[in-house]
Amino acid sequence: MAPAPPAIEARGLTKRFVVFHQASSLKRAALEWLWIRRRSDAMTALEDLNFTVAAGETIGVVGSNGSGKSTLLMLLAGIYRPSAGQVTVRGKIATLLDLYAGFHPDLTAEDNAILAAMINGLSRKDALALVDEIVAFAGLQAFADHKVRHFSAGMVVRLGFAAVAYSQPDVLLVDEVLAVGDEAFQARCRARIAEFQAAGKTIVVVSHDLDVVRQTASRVLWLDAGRLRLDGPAEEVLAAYHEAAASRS
Amino acid sequence: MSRRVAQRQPILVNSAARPGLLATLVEIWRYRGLMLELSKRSIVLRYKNSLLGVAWSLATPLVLIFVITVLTRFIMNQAIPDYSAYLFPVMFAWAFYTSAIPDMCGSLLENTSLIRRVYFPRELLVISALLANLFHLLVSMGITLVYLAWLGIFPKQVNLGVLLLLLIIPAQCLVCLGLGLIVAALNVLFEDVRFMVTVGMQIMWYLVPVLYPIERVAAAAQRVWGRPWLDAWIRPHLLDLYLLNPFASVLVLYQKALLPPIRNAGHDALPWSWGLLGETWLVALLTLWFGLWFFDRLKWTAVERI
Repeated sequence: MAPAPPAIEARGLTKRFVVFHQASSLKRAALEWLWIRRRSDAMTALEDLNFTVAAGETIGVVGSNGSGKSTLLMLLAGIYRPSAGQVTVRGKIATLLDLYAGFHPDLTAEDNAILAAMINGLSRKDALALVDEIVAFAGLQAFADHKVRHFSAGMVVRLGFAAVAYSQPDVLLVDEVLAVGDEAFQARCRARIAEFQAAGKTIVVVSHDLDVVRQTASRVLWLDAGRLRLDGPAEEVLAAYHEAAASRS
Repeated sequence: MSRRVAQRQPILVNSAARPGLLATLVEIWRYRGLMLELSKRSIVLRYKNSLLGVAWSLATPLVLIFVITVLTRFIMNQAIPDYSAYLFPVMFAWAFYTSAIPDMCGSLLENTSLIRRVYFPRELLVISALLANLFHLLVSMGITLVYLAWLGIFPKQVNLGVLLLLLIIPAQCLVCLGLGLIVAALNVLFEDVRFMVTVGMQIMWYLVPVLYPIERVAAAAQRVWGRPWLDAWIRPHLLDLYLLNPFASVLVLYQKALLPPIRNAGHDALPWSWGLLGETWLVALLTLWFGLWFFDRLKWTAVERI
């Protein structure tokens, strides 16, 4: 059997943002266009990233604030488009990028779970079939038809994680949200992530919590000011990162 | 977890290259399940805390129909028999414009959290806002038919004309979608767009045949205005220019399809015109094409700025 193609493949991945100096209005845009004077700069968030992630691998991404970690996840999820280069992701992608996970405060837990599962690539039929299990995994059976507006942050995160866990992704992108649930739920999440890993899913975890990264990831990418500074086994990279952070402070 | 169904593995290739318009349309079609779910959601959300629910989408047009009927009969003194019947379809069609376009305009900003979560064609949000409004349009056209039946117009005087709705409603939707895509993308980048849409709709209200029948416009073209260049250049083409506006032509089509020729409107009743239908479709398709192209140019920048 030929080796499986890598789950994630970044080639010369570069992202620049256009930064406008003042709040944009149509009037200003028209004036600037007429005068052909650009009041914008390009800010380079990521520059020339090259890496591959094998299917079934779990990698962590570390770096200081503004080093481009979140931008990288956005590019992997297909939310942003690269300015140059490309990234290929094979398999169904699911994300846990922000706390509110795309939920609408005025919809019930059930309706939100259905939509979240569909957003993560399930068909409507599958989402309807799984919705009870999703709500149960989040431990919210008693609140299934309550509006998410009245939920605590922890309950929302649980529901978001449950919807992702049941939408059967091949590639899971996680940005530092799991630290919010209570102890019991965190244990369930860790068990679920271990299950994902055992099932050969690919996971990318971005976190400031180096312990979380150490526990889950076998390999770590260290981003520094938009460039890939180090890419290697978790222990090695985390030690180097820790040292650099200590020497700077 | 249930058994994973064997299927082709999706591949996301994210690069600076821009896929063609056709590829975008194919992709939208692949996501139709999500599109319908989003439409359903916006219908549910609009009436989340209301007792009357969908009835509210009918309330505003119904009140306006009543007011305009009274105005035209007693104050503007136009003795047009059954003018309220002529108002029903146009008022509801107008309500579709006034509610769908602002809805589409805000659709990206309102769904920030969905957009920043996962990739899906961003057009879906705009289309869903349109479909939610289409649902209300269909309900209100049903009510229009009930009213026309009560007046004895349908199905005695007009019957097969109702089938023309199947050609008119899609054209109206495509015009709306084209415009909606343009304003939705701009609305993310520029705060002013929301207000411009409001002002635009207010001006448009006087450029569509609701307060007056289209025959009045034809009558106005018969009189001499007394300004040489207007009389020479604009007046001979007044009706055509007026009907070039898809907002106006769609409303005329509704009236001509659903109602018998209007009487006492100051000019001979204009007949149903297949030519006008064709022209409206042409304008609709051009608007849609431009809207899709424009949205495609701006959508990535818009997502970054959200």
